[in-house]
Amino acid sequence: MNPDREDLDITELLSVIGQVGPPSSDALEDAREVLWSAVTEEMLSASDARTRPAEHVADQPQQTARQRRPESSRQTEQRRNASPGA
Amino acid sequence: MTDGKLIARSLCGEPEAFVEIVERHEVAIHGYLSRRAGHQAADDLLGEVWVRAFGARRTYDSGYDDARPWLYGIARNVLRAHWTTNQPIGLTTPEETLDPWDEITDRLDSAVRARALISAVRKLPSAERDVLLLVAWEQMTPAEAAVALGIAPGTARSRLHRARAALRHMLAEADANEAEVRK
Repeated sequence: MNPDREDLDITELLSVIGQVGPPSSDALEDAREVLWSAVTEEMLSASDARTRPAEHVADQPQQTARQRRPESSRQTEQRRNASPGA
Repeated sequence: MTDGKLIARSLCGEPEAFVEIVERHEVAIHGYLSRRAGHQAADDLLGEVWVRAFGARRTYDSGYDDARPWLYGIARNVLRAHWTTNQPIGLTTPEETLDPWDEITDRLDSAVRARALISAVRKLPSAERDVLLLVAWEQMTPAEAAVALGIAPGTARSRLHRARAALRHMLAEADANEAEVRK
């Protein structure tokens, strides 16, 4: 029996095989974009509930929600819209 | 500001506060998904984790400052759904067939030793493997792993103990077999 194996630190060895490369910024951005859709939807629902009596300002909350998204998130959407087949 | 306070804010008229939670933990959660399902699947599943977490944030226990264990639990559920949906016909253990073990073996210089370890990990019951990998790969404490898996801390500790003991036993057996072959 290998004497080194007697002292094997299982956790340390596993951490070696668990190493992975960092995610691409595009992957992270795409995932955040999915989240922003859910956030925006909730913001719109909340605003809609508050402003329901005043139907004439119904498009105001959507503008607000979109303005609150970070620039990078909006750029992703623009990139998608500009890409062929989008 | 703690994760718990950010989640509380996101529930009080500032849902966008949740985005900061994501920015804090996205690399770690992507790494977890990548280790358990491969890099491409991680890219595909990360957004689903955020949407599920956002939708479930009312269930977050604000007594916890760090949302990481909670997020790992959600990521684990997303992985389960992924493995179920992608279960190849005729295979009963989709997790084993879809975990990126081949990718891992390719990364290592010591392929023989890696194969022995990976084989041993694959033979563990999934409940024990989950705790072991959360501790070994995600640097979680057994108590944090318990939160992620929705089990009692004592259960997590005993599963971890059993998993480590089983791995030691299986690796010792692999050593003995290798020595036998070299004779």
